[in-house]
Amino acid sequence: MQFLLALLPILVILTLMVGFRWGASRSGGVGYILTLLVALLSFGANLELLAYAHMKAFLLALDVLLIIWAAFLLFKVAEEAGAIKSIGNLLPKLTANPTLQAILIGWVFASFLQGIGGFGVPVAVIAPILIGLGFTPLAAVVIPSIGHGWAVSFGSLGSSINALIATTGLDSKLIAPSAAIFLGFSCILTGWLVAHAAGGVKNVIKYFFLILAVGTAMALGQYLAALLDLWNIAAFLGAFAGLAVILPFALREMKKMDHNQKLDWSKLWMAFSNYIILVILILVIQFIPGVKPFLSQLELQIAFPEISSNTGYLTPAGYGRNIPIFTHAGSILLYASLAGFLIYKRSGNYTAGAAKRILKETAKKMTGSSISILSMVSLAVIMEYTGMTRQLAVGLSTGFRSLFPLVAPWIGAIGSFMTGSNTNSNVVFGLLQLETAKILDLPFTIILAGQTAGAALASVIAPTKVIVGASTAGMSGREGEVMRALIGYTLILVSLISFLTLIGVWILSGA
Amino acid sequence: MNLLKRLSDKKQMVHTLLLLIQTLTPIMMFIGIRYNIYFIIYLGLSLLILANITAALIK
Repeated sequence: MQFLLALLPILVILTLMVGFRWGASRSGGVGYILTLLVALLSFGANLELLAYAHMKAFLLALDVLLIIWAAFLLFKVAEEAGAIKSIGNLLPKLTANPTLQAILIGWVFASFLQGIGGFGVPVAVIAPILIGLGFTPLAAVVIPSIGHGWAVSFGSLGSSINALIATTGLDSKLIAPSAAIFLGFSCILTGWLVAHAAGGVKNVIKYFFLILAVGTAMALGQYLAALLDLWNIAAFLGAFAGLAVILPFALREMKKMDHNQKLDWSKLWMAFSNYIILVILILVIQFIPGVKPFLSQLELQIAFPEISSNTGYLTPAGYGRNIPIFTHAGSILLYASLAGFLIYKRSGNYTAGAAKRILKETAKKMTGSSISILSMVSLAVIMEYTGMTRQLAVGLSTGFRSLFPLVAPWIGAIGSFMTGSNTNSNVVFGLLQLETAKILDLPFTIILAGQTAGAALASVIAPTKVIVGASTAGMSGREGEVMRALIGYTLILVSLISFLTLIGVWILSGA
Repeated sequence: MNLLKRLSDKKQMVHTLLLLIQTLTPIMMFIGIRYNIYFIIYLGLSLLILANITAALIK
C-alpha cells in the first residue's frame, strides 16, 4: 500500500503529461499538491521537514534555473544577431546530409558539450541550431536529448560519478571503469538511435559502420580515461575522440560537393563565436591551474540539520546544493553571452533595441519552464525527505530479489527521472544500491555501474530536462509530445544497461 | 470560471507572479524554521500551495 502511495505522484504526472498532453507547469502543480497530501497523510511529513525540504529543493532548482536562463540568453544573443540563421545556411555546406548533421551535431557535439558543460546545456544549445538547419522542433529536441545521455555520468567533469564516490565512500577505481564499460556500449547504441530519430531504420543501416567507428572511439576514449583515473574528464576525452573520427569524414564529403557550395569558414566562425567562446571559457576555468579555485571562493552553501519525519524516517544532516557564484555553468554561459553580444554588436549585426528584445524574450520564454522545474524538484525532495523514494526502491528490490541486477538500473532511472539529475539519483540511491547488493551478495561495482548508467540514460526524459529542451525549441506546453517521442529510445537504452548489469553479475559471480 | 479565464488571458503576468511566490516562499519557510517564527512557515506553505493550484488550473 505504501509502495502504491509513493508511486502515485509519478503515475499521475506521467498520465497527465503523456496521456492528457498537459504542459509541465500544470502537471507539476498537480504532482506537487498530490505529493504534499500523501506525504502529510501517509508518510509523516511535518512542518520542520517541509520547511527544510523546500529550501533544499530551491537550491537544487536554482542550480538548474541558472543554466536554462543563461543558455536561452546565449541562444537569443546569437539569434538576434542572425547567427543561428547563418549556421543554418552554412552548415549544410559542410554536410548537407541531415543524418550526418544529426550525428555530428546532435550526438558527437552534444556529447562534447555534456563532457565540458553539464545539466541541460547540450539540448538547450543544440536544439535551436538543429531548428536552424531545418529539423522540426520535436526532432531538434529529441536528437540531442538521446545523443548526450551516455555522456551524463562522466559529463560536467564527472560530477555524477563524484557524487557516487562521495556517497558510497568507495574508491573511484572500483566504480568508474565498470560504469564506463556500460556507458560505452550505450554510446554506440545511442548513435544508431540518433540515426533512427533523424530518418528511420534505413538511416541506421546506411550509417551503421560509421556510427560503430565513431561510437567505439568515444566509448574507448571514455573507458581509457576512467581506467587511468581521469574520470572527471572521461566524457570530454571520449567525445573529443569522436570528433577526431567524424570530422575528416565530413570534410571528405564536403570536397565531393559542388565548388559553388564552398564553405565560407570566416562566416561560420563568426556565427559560432558565441559557442566557441563558451568552450574556451569552460576549458580555461576547468583546466588552467588556479583559475577555478580562485573563482570558486564565493559560493552559496547552506547547512541542513538532521530531519526526522513523524514516522521516524531520518535524513542525515548535510549541505544543500553548492552554488559557486562565478564558476557555475550558468555563470559561464552568462559570460559567453556577454562576450558574444559585444562581438556581434561590434560587427554591426544588431539593430536598435536588440538588448531589450533579447532580455524580454528570454524572460517570456523561461518563466513557464521555471515554474515547472520548481514544482517538480520540490515534490522530488519531499518524496526523498519522507522516505517515499526509498519506499519505491525497497519495494522494487524486495519484489525482484535474484533479479535485482535487472532492477538496479531502473531504480537509478526513477531517481533521475524524479529529480532530473544523474547526480541527485546517485546521491539518493547510491548507498541504498550498495547496501542492497551486499545483502543479496551481489558484486557491488556492477550494481553501482548499473545505477549511474541507468540514471544517466533516463535523465534525458526527466520532466525537468524535457522542459529545458522544449523551452529552447519553442515547444513550451508540449512537453508531453517530447516525452512520448523519447520514451521508446530511453526504454531501449535502460534495458540495455539492465541486460549488461545482469551479464556483469553472472560473470563476476562465476555463474 | 470567469476568474480562471481572466487569469489564463493574462498568463504571462500570472506566471511571473507564481515564479516570484515559488522563489520567495522557500526562503520564507527557511527563515521561519531557523528563527522559530511558525506564522511565516504557515504563510509560505499556504502561498506555495495556492501558487501550485493556480499553475495547475491555468491552461
